[in-house]
Amino acid sequence: MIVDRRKLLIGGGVVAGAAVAGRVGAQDHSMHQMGGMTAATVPADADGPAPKVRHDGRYLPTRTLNGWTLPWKMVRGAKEFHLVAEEITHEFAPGSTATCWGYNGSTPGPTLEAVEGDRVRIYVTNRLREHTTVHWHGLILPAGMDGVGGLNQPHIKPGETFVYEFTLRQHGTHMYHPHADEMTQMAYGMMGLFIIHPGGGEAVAVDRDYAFLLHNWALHPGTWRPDPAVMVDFDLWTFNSKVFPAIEPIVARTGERVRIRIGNLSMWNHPIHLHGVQYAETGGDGGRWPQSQWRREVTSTVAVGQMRDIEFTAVPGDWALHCHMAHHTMNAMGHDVPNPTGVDQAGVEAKVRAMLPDYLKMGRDGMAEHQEHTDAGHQGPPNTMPMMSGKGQFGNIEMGGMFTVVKVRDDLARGDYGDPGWYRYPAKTVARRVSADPAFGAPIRRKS
Amino acid sequence: MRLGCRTWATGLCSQYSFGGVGGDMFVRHGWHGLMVAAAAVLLGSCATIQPAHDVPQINKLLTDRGAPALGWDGAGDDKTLVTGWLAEPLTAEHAVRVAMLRSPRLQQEYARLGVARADIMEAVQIANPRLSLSTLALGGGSGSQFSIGIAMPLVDLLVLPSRTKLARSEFERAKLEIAATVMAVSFDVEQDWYDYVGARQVADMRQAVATGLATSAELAKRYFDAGNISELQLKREEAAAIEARIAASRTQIAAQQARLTLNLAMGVSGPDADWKVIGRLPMPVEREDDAAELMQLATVGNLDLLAARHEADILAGVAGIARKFRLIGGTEVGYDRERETDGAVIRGPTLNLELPIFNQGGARVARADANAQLAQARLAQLQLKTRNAVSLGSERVRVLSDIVRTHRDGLIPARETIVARSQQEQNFMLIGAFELIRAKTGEYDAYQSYLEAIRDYWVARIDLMRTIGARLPSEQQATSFAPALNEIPTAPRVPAHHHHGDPK
Repeated sequence: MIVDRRKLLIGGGVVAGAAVAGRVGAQDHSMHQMGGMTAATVPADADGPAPKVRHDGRYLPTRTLNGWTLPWKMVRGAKEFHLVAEEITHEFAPGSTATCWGYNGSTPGPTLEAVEGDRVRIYVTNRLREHTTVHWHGLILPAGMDGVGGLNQPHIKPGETFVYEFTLRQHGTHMYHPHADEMTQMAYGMMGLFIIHPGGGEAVAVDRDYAFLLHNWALHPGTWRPDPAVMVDFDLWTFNSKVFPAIEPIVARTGERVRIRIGNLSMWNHPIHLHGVQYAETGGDGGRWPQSQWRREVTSTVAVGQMRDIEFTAVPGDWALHCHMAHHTMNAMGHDVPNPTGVDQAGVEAKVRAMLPDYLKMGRDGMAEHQEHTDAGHQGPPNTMPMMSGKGQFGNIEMGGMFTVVKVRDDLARGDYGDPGWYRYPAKTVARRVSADPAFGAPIRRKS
Repeated sequence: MRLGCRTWATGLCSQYSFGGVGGDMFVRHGWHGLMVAAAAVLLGSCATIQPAHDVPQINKLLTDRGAPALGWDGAGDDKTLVTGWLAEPLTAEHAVRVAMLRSPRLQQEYARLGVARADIMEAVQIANPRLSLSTLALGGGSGSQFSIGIAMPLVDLLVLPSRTKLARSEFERAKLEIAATVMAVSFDVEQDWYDYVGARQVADMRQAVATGLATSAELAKRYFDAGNISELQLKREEAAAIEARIAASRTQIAAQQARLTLNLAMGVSGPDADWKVIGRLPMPVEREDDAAELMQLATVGNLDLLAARHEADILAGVAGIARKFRLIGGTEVGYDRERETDGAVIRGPTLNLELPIFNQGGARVARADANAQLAQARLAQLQLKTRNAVSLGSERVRVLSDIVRTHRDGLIPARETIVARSQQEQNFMLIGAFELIRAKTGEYDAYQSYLEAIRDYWVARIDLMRTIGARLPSEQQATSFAPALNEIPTAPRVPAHHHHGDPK
C-alpha cells in the first residue's frame, strides 16, 4: 500500500521539516496602545505576538497584513477551527480607536488556511448580544452549511456554538462573513479571509503570499463607534481594518515572485493600483486562472464581493500600493465645507482671531500645508485621524486610508517580513531640481 | 389714606370740649392758675418735638435696617463727597450714597418732615382763649355797663395729655413713614443701577455678536471674490450681519435710557453725569436667607407695617377718647367781670354747658370707630400682603439664583465646549469657518443670558428687600464676580483630552 505521504503528515500530526524557515504563520505586531476606551469587552492587551500555527508543509502560508492565521487541530480527520464572534476594541491607527465587532479579538478575524481536499470543521461561538451566522463566501459546500440565517440554518443565538463541517472542493482566495443582520455586523468589522491552497501545489510557485480585505467605516469625528447606517459617505477606508500609516508594508527581496490577494467586503468598488510593475491578474473568485487568462494590469478594480489575486516579480524600491480613488487615500474630512482655495484672508484673519484665538487661515493654495499644520499640533476632535499624514525620507507623504508601500530590497532574507526602512536610492536615480526660478526655460503652452 | 395730623387734632379741639372738673380748678386758682397751667402743658409738649433730633432718629431707623443714612447732617461738604464717588467706577452703594445727598425726591421727603413737625406742633397747642368785651350804655342816661370776659373750651385742657401722647405717636408714625420712603428711594436707585449695568452688558454682548457676524460677512465676501461661494450664500451672510447690527443699535439706546433714569434718580446732571460704571456684577450669594427669618424681620421691622400699626393705634386711641367724652359737647368755661351801670362790679366763673338731650354724640363716636376699623383693616391687608410677598419674593430669589448657577455650571461650559470642539473640527477641515463663527456667536448669546440672569437675581433681591423693609442679612456673604465682558472673547480652551497614541 502506497502510503500517501501527505495524508500521513496530516493524520499523524507530524511536523515535517518544512522548507520554509522562520516562524510560519506567526507575525510580529508592535504593541498598540489602547487606553481610555469605555466599551471594550476584550482586554486591551489582546494584541501581541500571533499564535503559532501548526505547519502544513504543502503550501507557503499566506501573510495577512496586520493580521494573523487561526491555528487548527486535527480531530477525527478534519481540521478543526474555532471562531468566536464578539465585541472588541480596535485601533485603526495610533490616534483612532473604536468599539467594533470581530472574531477572536480582531477585525478582520483570523485567516483560515487549508488545502483543497481538506475536511474542515469550524466551530462558531456567538458572544454578541444578537444572533449571527457565518457564510463562507465563494465556497462550494452543502446548502445547509452555506450560512444564510433563516434560509440555510437557524441563527446562532447569543451564547450558542454551532459547527460547520464540509470538505473543500476548490482552491483560491475566499472570505467569510456574517449573513444575519449583515449590514450592521459587517459595518462593525466582522469578516475574514479563507485561503484554500491548491491540492497539487502551485502551478507557478510564489515566494511571498500576502492577503488583505478592503473595508470602509463610518467612524464619525469625535466618536468611538462606527455608524452602521451610513451607506456612501464613509470616514475611514482600510486594508485589513487599518489605515495608512498603520498598514504594514509588503516586503520582498528583489526578484522574488509576490502574490497579493485582495478581497472586497466594503460598500464600494475599489481600483487597486500598484506602482512600478505590470503585474499579472492571476486569479479571482474561482481560484487560479489558467495562465492563458492572466492579464497584465497596473490597476485592478475589485468589486464588492469579489476577490482578485495579482502576481509580479519584485523590483527594488519603495512602491506605492493604493486604491486610486483619491478620497479613499484620505481619512475623514468634511465634504460640505466652503472651499478656501484662492481666498485672500489678509486682515480678516485677525478679526476672526480676536474672537477665536486658535483660528488660522489655511488652504489658500491647496491642501498641501494641511499636514504641516496637523503635524505641528493643530488639534482635531478626539479619536480622529488627521486627513493626511505619514513622512517619507523626502518629506510628507500626505496620505491616509487605503495606502501602503511595497518595499523591495536586494538584501532582504527569505522569510524576513520585517520592515526594512526606507529605500536607499542609488545615486542619480532620484528626480532632482534644476532651477528654483518659475520663469526657467521655455515651456510651450497652449493659449487658453 | 393717611390721616393728617392736623385733621384729627383740630377735630378733638372743636368737638370734644368739656367742663366740670376743670371748671372747679379755675374757680379756685383764678386767672393766674389758668395761665400757668396752660403754659406748663404747652412748654412740656413742645419739649418732646426737637427738630434737631429728627434726622438722627430717622437715620437710626435706616441704619438699623442696613440702609445708608441720610446725608444731611446740617454741615458737611457733600459736594466733594459726591464728586469723589462719581470719579471712581460707580458701584451700587455709591450710587445710593449720591442719591442720599442729591436726590430731589429725598429732598421732598425731608421737607415733608418739616411739615409733619409743624402739624404736630399745632396739634399740641391749646386753642387760644376768647376775650369778650362789651360796653353797654344806658339808653338816655349816664352810665355804661362794661364787661370783659375770657372763655375757652375746657376740653383742650382736659384732653391735652391724651392729645400729646397721640401727637407724639403720630410724629413717630410720620418719621417711620419718611424713613420708609427714604428706604424706598434708595432701593429704587439701586435697582436703577442694576438695570443700567444689565442694559449696558446686553448692549455690549449684542455688539460682540454684531462684530462677529460682520467679520463672518467680510470673510464671505473674500470667498465670493475668489469665486468660491454664490451671491446667494454671500447675501445670507450679509443679511445676518446687518440684522445683528440693527439689534445692537437698539440695545445701545436702551442702555442710554437706563443711564438717564439712573442719573435722574441720583439727582445728577451736567458734567457730574459723565461717570463710568464698574464692568462686573457680583455673583449670587452661596446661601440665601431663610424665609422664616425674613418673615420675622418683616413683621417686626418693616417701616410701612410699623407706621400702619401706629396709625391703627392712634385711631383706636382717638375712638377711645371720642367714646369717653361723647356726652360732653361744646361746653365752655370762663371768667367774667362786669362793671354795671351803677358802678358795681360783679365777677365770677362762667359755665356754658352743652346738654346731650337730642344727641349723645353718637355720630362722632361712629365716625371715630369707623376710622379705627378702617385703619385696622388696612393694617391687616398690609400684613397679609407682606407675608405673601416675602414668601414669594424669597422663592423668586432662590429660583433666579438657581438659574444663574445653571448658566454658570451648565450652559456656559457647554457653549464653550461647542466652540472649542468646533475649532478642532475646523482645524481638520470637517466644518467651515462660517459654522465656527456661528458657534462663537452662540456662546455670546449664552453669556448674555447669563449676565441678564445675574442682573435679574439682584433686582429680585431688591424687590424682596422692599417687602421686608430691610437689607438682607445674606448681603454680608462675600461672593466672587461674574465674568467681565473683555474676558469672554477669549474663553478657556478645552482641557487636554486623553489621546490614544497620538501620532505626535
